[in-house]
Amino acid sequence: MTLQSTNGIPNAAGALNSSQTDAPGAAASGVVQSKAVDVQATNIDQFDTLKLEPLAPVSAPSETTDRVESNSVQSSSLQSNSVQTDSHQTGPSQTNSPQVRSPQAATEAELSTTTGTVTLEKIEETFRSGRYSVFNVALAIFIVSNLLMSFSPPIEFDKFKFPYQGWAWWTFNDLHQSSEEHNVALLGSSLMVSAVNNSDAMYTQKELNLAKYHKAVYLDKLLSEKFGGTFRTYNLAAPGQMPSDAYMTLHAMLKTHQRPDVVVYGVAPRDFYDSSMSSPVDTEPFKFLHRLVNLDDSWNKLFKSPFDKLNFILERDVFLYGNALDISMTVMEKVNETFDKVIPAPTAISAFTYWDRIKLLPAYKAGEIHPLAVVVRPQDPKAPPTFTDNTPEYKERYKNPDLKNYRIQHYFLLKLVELCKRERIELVVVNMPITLENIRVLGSYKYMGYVNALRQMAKDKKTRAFDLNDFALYSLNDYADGVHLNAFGGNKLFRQLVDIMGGTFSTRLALEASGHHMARSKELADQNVPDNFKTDIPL
Amino acid sequence: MLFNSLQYLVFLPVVFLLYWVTPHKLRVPLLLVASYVFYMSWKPVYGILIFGLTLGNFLLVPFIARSVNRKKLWLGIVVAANLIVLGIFKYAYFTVGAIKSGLAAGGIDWREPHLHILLPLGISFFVFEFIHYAVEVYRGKPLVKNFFNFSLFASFFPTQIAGPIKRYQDFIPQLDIKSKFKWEYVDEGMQLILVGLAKKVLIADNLALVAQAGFNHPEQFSACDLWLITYAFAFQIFFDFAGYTDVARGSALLFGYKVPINFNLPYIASNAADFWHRWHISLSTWLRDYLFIPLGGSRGSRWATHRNLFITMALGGLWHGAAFHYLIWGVYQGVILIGHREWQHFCKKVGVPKSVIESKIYHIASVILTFHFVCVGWVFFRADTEKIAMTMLTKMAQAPVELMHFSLNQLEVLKIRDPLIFPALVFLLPALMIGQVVVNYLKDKKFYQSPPWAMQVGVMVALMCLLTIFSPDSSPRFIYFQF
Repeated sequence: MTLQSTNGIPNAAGALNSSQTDAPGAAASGVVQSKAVDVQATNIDQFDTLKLEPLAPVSAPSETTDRVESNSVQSSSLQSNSVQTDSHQTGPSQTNSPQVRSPQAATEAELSTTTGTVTLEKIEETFRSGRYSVFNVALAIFIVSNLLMSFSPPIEFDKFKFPYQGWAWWTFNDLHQSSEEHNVALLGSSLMVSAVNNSDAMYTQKELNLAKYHKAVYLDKLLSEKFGGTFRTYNLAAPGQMPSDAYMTLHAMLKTHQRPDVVVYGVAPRDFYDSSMSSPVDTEPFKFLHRLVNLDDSWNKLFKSPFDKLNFILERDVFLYGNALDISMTVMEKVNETFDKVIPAPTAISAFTYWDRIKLLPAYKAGEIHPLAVVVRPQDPKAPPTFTDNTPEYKERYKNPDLKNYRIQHYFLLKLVELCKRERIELVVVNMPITLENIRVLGSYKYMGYVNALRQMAKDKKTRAFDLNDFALYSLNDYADGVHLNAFGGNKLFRQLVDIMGGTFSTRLALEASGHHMARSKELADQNVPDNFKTDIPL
Repeated sequence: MLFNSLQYLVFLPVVFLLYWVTPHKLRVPLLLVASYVFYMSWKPVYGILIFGLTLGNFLLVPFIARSVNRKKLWLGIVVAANLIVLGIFKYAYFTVGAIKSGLAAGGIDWREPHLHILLPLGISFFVFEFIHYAVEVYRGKPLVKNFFNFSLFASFFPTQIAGPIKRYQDFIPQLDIKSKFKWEYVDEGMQLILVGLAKKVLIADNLALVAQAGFNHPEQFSACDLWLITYAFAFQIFFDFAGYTDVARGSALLFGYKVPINFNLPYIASNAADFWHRWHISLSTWLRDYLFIPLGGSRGSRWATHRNLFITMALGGLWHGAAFHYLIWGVYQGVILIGHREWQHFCKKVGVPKSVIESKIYHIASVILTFHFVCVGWVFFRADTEKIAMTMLTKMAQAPVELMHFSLNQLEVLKIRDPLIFPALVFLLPALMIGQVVVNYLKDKKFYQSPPWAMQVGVMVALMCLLTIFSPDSSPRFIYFQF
């Protein structure tokens, strides 16, 4: 018993400029000796009309008092505007509500109470009424309809469709639409991206639009020269790509029915130590790729937080939740079409561009890449290379490395090795060149730990792994900053890589076979096959 | 922990199940623990603050009750202590900044101290609840003797972060009632929660994009666009906060508790005073009871009442945030409330016939005019600086000229096709306004007292599906969390 009395509720709500009796004494005069859970009115109109009724003394609260009813409190229904609970006496739900149960049932319940057989019947009765609970029925319908849709989806969605056109989307959009086969694939972070594109821009002397350019023509040329045949490399590397992303990226590539014979994966310490990534699911590629790749065998490692794990389970098992993005995209497409018909966008004035949008709404689809937004220009071979010091950025990235994240990324590196073995893909892991300054920021002890872990992995899994970080070969002139190679550095890297691969028996064999197979396929494709050409030999 | 997060989707059912299987005596401690878990999930150290304030008020307020001659002094001490804590956490930066600007204007370059104060969530709400308790005890109401009950009053998780601001006389007695589980609690609670989430996720979050673009770059839009953007913000803040309140009330109802409502179709208000009867009701009643009335209320002269209204609303504006634009918004609200009183006075004096004032046309015109007055206020409220607000209002004032030569080509919002909410405004805003009228009509017809069972189920299933599909991954926080 904590309250002696209450004087109920405020007077007419918000009557700031109405006259009132506001002296403390006057307020106190409204005190009613009651145990009232009084009137928490839920409707402002009813604030004016509520009357305080003396209730039972506070010291003896009734065993079965219902808070809501005992206090004339109104309960709300579909709207926040409320209704009185007694209104339920007219709906189907009340037929089973405790208040309106049959006299016989009431007698039985009373009997059971008086005979002291406690509350089993009461509990049963309570839960019987739950069968007609609006929420229970709605939840049951929701669950059953989701289950039905999971077993027999009413519509198949194209998972390559994605509203956010980030790096991963552009990479796979290109690959998905490509009719060409690719026999080599590159994986890696921005270190690989910059090496490939800088060297290609200089080699081709063309401006490269990275949203649409995913080749590695300079590397293809070197491979052809070294191993013969034809090479078509697809560059799957993406800024910030971590081993978890690399694993998913290759998995997703296989889903497009493109199967490379050789995969070169360039790794660097940042891929394992980045403090700015709290979890493998924070990366931009993950957001897109997890739609394409079945993660049943690795979700426990990917999701650190229990809520992320729950979210994954819901996405996997609840049809509407798992396909929410696809459904909303489909709906939005239809709405957009309707809008274009009903109110076409004004044409008399300049169109609203991507650039306008990122100015007005910088957070909306942040990081989305415009098809012309990321361009690499050929480096002038005569001009001195420019160097940007990005040490402060890497101080942040290497600060407080998370050992758990490090282990998770190693786990995905191993998964990638296993995937390649399963698919009979020759995997070549290379430790990318970075400057000594960058290693100093990380700490040489940690760097050596990382290199040794790569070596151990290669030994245990019988995989090719090469350390290309040759301080004698690369000078500061080969770098655009502490970690990214410029065109000169890129050229050196690929020459070194091709040499090393040529010195490894199994890799050389794989590359030679692949190059020649592609050359033969190309020859066949180039031949003019007549429409009525028939053969028993499968092509 | 956000109401629209997966964490809450797990937290609420767990607490709900534990609550109803726990004996009555342990229910308050259980809710107390849950509320502290909820609060400390933001930042564990915040828990110490709310506990310290709770303990301080619990120990100090009895001195007000016991004292015979020094009641006022004790009340002053308790209120001041609460306000000092609020001031330190909420207004320290603002005060230091204002002093610095003042000194700079006088040619003095003051190197202000570096403060590292994080604003604890919900502090404005629970400090107001403590002050209400102290004042009510001063006015002769009984003390709360059970520390657990008092602690739960302050920290009850559904209302902890953004209200509604509770009254202890209404809340505490509910804790003592040995209630039994009823499915009605689940049905009505879940209906409120789903409706509230729909208001937030489906309407407010989408309109937020429009407000963000318009208020950050008013120079990009025409006068008519800026009006549409201001309407959009008016509905954004309403659906955001009303959505929060619905989820709070629904969550409380799952445990059988009632908390006050905060909104009653505010945009069909026919004058400024009516608006404040319908908008953030728990705050407006608090301001009335613990600021306006102690200042003298409307008992004094006409000008004294105006002064009291002005001070109340200006401080109410400042309560929303430590920034000049909130203060200006409060002042503006005071001015339009005074304007309304003067208009009433003028009508009486001139002798405008009752039939005119009570006519439908007059009422409709009043509603439209009031809505626009409120919208002008929202510009001050939402704009980051007074300068942006003035830029917007100056441009918005040119709307009549623009309308004289109006064509759809003038509307920038129609050009933006991604996100689609921009062109959708031309349909959505009228629909939302008409929606308020329809809901009001249905309420008058007592439709909500007995909606068909099948319709209730249908609406619930539809809401579950819509929320599942359209709930964005990163729905922003509720607007009133920052206050």
